[in-house]
Amino acid sequence: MPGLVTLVSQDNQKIEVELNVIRQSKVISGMLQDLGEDEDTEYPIPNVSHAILKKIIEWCEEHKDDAPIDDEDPNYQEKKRTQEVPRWDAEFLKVDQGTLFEIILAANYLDIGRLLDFACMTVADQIRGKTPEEIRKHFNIKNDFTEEEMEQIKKENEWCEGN
Amino acid sequence: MRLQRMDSSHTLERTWTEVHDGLNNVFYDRGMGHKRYIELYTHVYNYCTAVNKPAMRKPPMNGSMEFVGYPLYQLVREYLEEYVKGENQKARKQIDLLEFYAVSWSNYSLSAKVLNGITDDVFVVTDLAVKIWNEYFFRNVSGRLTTLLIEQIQEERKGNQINSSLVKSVIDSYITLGSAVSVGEAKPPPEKTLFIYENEFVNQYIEETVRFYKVESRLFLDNNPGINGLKEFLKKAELRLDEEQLRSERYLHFSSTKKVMKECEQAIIGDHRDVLVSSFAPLLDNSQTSDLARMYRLAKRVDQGLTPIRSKFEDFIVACGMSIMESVGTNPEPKTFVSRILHIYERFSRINQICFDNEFKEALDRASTKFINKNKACEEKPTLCPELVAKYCDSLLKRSNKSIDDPATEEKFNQIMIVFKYIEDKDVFETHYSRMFANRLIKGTSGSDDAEESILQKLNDICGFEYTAKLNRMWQDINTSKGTTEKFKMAMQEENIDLGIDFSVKLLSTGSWPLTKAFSMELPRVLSNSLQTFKEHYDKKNPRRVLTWLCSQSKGEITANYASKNYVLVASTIQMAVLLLFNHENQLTVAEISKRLAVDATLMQQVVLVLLKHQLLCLGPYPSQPETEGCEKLPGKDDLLSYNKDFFNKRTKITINVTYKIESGNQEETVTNKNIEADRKLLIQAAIVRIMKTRRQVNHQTLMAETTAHLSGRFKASVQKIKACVETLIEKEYIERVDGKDIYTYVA
Repeated sequence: MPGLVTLVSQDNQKIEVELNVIRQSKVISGMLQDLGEDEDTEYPIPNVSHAILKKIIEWCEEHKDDAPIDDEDPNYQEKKRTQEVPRWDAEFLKVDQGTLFEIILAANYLDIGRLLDFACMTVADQIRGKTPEEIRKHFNIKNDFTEEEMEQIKKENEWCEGN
Repeated sequence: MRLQRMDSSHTLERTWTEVHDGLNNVFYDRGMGHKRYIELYTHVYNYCTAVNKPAMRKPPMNGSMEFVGYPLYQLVREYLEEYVKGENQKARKQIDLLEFYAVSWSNYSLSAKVLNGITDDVFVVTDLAVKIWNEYFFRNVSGRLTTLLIEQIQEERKGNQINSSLVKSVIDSYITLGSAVSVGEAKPPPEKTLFIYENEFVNQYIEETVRFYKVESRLFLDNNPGINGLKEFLKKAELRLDEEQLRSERYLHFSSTKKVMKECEQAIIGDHRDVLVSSFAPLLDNSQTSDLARMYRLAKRVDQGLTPIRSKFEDFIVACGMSIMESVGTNPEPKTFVSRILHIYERFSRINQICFDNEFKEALDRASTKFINKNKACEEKPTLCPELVAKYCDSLLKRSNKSIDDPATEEKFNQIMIVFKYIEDKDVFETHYSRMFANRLIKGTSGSDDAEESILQKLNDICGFEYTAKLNRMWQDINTSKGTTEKFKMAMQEENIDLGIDFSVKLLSTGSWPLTKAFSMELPRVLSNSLQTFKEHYDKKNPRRVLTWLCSQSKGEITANYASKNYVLVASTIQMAVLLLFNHENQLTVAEISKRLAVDATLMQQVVLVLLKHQLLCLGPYPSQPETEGCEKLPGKDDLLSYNKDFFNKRTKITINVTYKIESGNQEETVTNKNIEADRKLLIQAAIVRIMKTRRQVNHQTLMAETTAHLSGRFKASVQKIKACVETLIEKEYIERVDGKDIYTYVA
């Protein structure tokens, strides 16, 4: 089929995908610009596992008709600050912590701006409204402050707590 | 956003080994597969995201070198430096530096682009690559490159083939080189990125271009003298400028085009403006439209280039106009006069439109005003021009003009209006026009209502409602009169009154018509009866209006029954009255006639003279032969007149009130001119009072200027006349002169 390329994941599994879908990765689209298109070659994606790559492609399929984003555009920056994660994407990103983290890494690696934004926003939403202790619990983070440090921090932030 | 991977396998050495290999592929082998590309990208990405020293996670800003991946960045820099130095080394041995540089630059930029893709999202290499190119290669050869580039372009100007894409790509490299910034520096505004291109190339380029065209133009003009040489020069100049425009667009940054073109225009046209200007009049004289248009287009391109041409154009029209107007003599036919003016106007208007984009309309207007109002014919008689134009209108509007309803006549009116617009003394035109208009209306000699209305509308469009107010009133009067007469006749029928004659009236409002009551007379009973009846009828409806009968303006038809033949005589009222007397008398003296009709005897002498000329009456007792020769002389007051029983004429309908009118024609004109002067005085005074009323206090100079401006729509007021009016107003105590100064104050 024309316009199809083969991606090879970290664990050496092959996935066929439409060129136009995977163009949302700026790394891929930049490469195609620099080197030209070549359908026969297999594109290795050595940093992403098969499972995550499938997720990424699923996302790209859904968003293949979106208008390209312009990072420099102040309107986009503003929209990014206020926008909520769209329904489909919120549903898509309802995954376990590990997978979400992997998606973020892969989106960053492949430079897929919008996916990275949505994924990070999802994380931010999880943090919102939680106490430090809850956050630690949620993300499985060990409290590495000493007792004295804790006291010190509490004292510094007294003014914003309590009332 | 940088996400770290806690992976220690991505060391600098390992990564660099891979990247170095890759760079060799890119820069030397010029080959790189997609697979290799992604691998290299992954290496750089992993290296940069694996670094976990907090101090080095800062993003590149403020020119700080302490950013993620800095050691790798340094290695890449060294690699590029080596590569570029190598290229510089190779360049020394090249015979064709331009070619080598162009190819080398194109390869390098491509490779740098790929390199940038590999390191994308980590650090930007493009600017670094460009800076290195500048420092280790370009800077060393820029002088030679520029010279070579300019040489190539000069070759092209001489008509030789050059490799233009090569030239273009080298010039582009100058532009790209200026846009590079160091890591962390803000992007400069676009106009600041051109400094290398401008300093190293454009300035020198312009200098050489100007030199080239200066020499070329001078040589061309020297070798091709005269008007034909100039025509060729204009063609060549236009061609050269078009070429240069294309050349600029092809090779230079768009920001330089304007400057380059300006310099070229100066070198080709501006420096030879005098030659252009001096050949303008000869071209105009021969109506060489395409050459004139070309000269206009060229002159327009240089600063102030049109000014001298515009004034030459104006001078030329004035000179042409003056000489043609001189040829019409001091007493020209109205038609000839107007058509000569139009001939000149249209000739230059056409040239202005097809050659000068109508840009010189104002000059044409100024020139036309000048030659129309200040020509030889008008010097003798300042009011000549408006008078002749009015007369020409009259001749076109009379019934005798058979083609009055042709579209061609309407076109003639439009042309007349062109001339009218330029007339300074529009009031003189109005006075004369109004007199002739009145004549046409009263005598019913107007050829077409549509044409009359069309002219009134045109005058209204040009001068406004006020100007045509009286004329419009006159037009209305005549139209209402028709209805009034009709209603009167119907009323007479209803009341069963028979007046014995066919009778119609024209009601003319006082003040709108240029008519005065010339004389009064006793009317024959048959006429006065009708008048009386009409007056009673009219007074009933309009009790406050006063009717004055203008016998000098009215006419009628009477039937004369002779033994041999019956005639219909079209006669003025006074002529009718005289003839009617002879119904009952066979002979009467002039004095007797004037007594019976209560008319001044001197006037009667003239009336009688006309009747003698027509041989309706004869001097002395009948049957003395009518003296045709003696008819030039006025009859004496006591001369005896008898009616000519043997009157004979070939025609049955004879108009006899014609000659009488012509005799008074000249007198009428003198009166008209006197009226104009009187009207003007009033208009000037009104204007002064209006100005003084708003300004309260004003100095002499301003007052003169404003009054002239105020009246310019009507006529051109001379300073002398305004001064006289100021004096009158001071006497009348409307205004005061401030002691010892040239200032006037308004006295409320």
